[in-house]
Amino acid sequence: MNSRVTRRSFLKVAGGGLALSMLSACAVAPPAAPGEDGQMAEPVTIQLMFWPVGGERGIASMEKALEPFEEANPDIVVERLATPWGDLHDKFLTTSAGGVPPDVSAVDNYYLTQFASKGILLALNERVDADPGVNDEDYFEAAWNEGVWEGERWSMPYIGSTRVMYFNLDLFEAAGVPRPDEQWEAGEWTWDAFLESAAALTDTSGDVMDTVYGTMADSSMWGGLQPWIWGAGGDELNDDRTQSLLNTPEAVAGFEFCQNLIHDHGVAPTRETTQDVNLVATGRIGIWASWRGLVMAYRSYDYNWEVVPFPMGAEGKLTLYKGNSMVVAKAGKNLDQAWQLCKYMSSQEADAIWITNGGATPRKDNTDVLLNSRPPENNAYFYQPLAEGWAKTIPFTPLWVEWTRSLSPFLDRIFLDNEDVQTVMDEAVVTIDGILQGDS
Amino acid sequence: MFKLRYAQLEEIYGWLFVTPWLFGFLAFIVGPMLVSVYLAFTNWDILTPAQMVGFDNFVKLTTGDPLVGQALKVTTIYAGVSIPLQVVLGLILALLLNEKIKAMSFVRTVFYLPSVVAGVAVALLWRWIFSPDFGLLNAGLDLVGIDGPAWLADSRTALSALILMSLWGVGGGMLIVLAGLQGVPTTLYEAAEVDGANSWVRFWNVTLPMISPVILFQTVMGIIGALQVFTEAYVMTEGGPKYATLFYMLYLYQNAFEFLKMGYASALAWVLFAYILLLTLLVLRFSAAWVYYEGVSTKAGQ
Repeated sequence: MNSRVTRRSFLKVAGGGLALSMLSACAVAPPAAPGEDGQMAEPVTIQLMFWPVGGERGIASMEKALEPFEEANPDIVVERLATPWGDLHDKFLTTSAGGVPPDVSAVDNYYLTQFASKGILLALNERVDADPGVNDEDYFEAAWNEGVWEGERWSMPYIGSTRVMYFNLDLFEAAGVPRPDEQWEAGEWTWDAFLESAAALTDTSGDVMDTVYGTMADSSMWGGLQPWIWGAGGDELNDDRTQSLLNTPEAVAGFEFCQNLIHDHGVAPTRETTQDVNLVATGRIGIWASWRGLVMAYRSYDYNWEVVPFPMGAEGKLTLYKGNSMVVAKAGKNLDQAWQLCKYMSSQEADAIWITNGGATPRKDNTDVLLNSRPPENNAYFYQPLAEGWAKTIPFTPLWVEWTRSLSPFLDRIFLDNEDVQTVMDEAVVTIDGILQGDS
Repeated sequence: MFKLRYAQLEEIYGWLFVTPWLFGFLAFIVGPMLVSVYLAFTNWDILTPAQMVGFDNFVKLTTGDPLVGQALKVTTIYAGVSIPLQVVLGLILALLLNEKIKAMSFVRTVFYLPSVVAGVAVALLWRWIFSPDFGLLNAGLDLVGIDGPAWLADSRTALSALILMSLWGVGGGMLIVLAGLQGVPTTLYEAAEVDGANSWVRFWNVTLPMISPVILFQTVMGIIGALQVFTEAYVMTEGGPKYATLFYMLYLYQNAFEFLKMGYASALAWVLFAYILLLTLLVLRFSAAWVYYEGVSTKAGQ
């Protein structure tokens, strides 16, 4: 046998060896199994993507929350991926498409059904049922059910808020108008009372820099208009979410109430005026709707403020709750550890930290923490609608982003151009139904 | 052992140096472009397998989607107004800054500086400038007794506002024209002066023809850039009010990443590519009539 090594064969073997060694260097080493001496396995790294609520403050909150988790779970190392809200959902989509999503991610519920429908989220039903550490009784029903779509659970509740009305207490006192929270407690806080208060506070007679508006009109479907539409007895979609109901007389009445605040009653500024100018920060708005997350900013304002529930319309007590989600990516490599982290992000311990950073709890067992996170004094109004069952949630569908986007120019016609709501909504519904029924 | 000639060695080095770029170009430009050709004929939501739909996407965008026409209209008006404005303003500024005065380097830097700051930061800055009640622009108009419009909040003025804002980057074009101006041989001006040409005639018959290749370059690059405008609309208006600023790239982005219609978005991208190519070829075709290289027009060697 000729054992001579030619230069060509030597180069072949050397090149092959080099390639193999490079490939092996690229390979991910499997986690080490527990040794016979009882030593711990190599820690598993779990990527967590989240948007830092309030920037640096949100990152600090997350660190505070993760510290006890990592102490209690030495086998899990959490890699933090702080991502701005505006980029997070695109990033989750593209990394999922590339097969390398973060193991666990925060997802705004506006996008949850869209992601769930694409099969990129891990269905959590079995894990929730099997895990003694998770009890649906600990959560308010509306908040708990937001994570369910088509019978499957896709997420654990994470942060979230009811929609409430904030009011500038100093303006109310200066104008001698009864406090809205007192009107609420007396059962007199109705749409009419709200309008009367707004009118009494409005002063547009002087220079633009001194103008005070009683309120601001909601003109967006991202949580702003729903309480008015629902309050008037209307709804966005039919039960199977295939048809828009925004042109029903009830829904139209809700739109008209908001439209009239600007164009008929003159108690709310136009969108031109509010564009890029924070009239709330400068104390120029009497009463306005928002989420609890804003309390962190409002605490730095140099006037006194409080909160009150939405005024009662035709449907009585009613408001909106919208939460966010912690999800587990289906394509993740370490689903058990990812579930541990996902579950923890929704736990009583972590939720207490989110509350101190502006969250309003989805959990029944954290209402004390919420009550004590002052101001405002009236923190109870954030969870009472959930506890008493008069908080509704948005009927999300995988096409929610698309149909609400298509509504924007119609809302411009109502709120900017003051066009007839019924006429505009009759046209809008045709467009929305086209999207919902897959014609577009 | 054989020895490489110097030229061969130089060629090998050349290829070696260009290889990283070439790899990036093939992997990140040509590759995705080829894939997007395929995707344009599919229904693909990024996350589930693509389904072939033939020419459906192209049929829909030409006959069944009025927003494509609106996006093309908005984008074309923007390009049609902002490019000439930028070229002319850049030329005027360059002529002014081509004079020999004290501290000219500083003045040139001041004019060029805004074009260095671009993107989201500028868009946010301009939102404040356009604020109807509290913005700098309407405050200025108010001083001269003009009641300023609502700018971005009014469908009649929103696009004009974005065109106005596009002039923020005119310093970049000015710099290129300035370089062109300084390349015009002084002997040509001397000869024109000897022939009795006044400053206007010198500008029209010497300066303009000599820098016409620079203006052509500006125009072509302007078309390519203006038809792909995205950031301003994305940050400032989201295409509103009433689709008045629905730029083509914004609509493409919405379809791709908000509605997860990547196949349709790919078809939109190829239509835009064809549109840019067509306009660029038209400009190049007609440039023969007004562009001079080395003082000679490309049209019949004039």
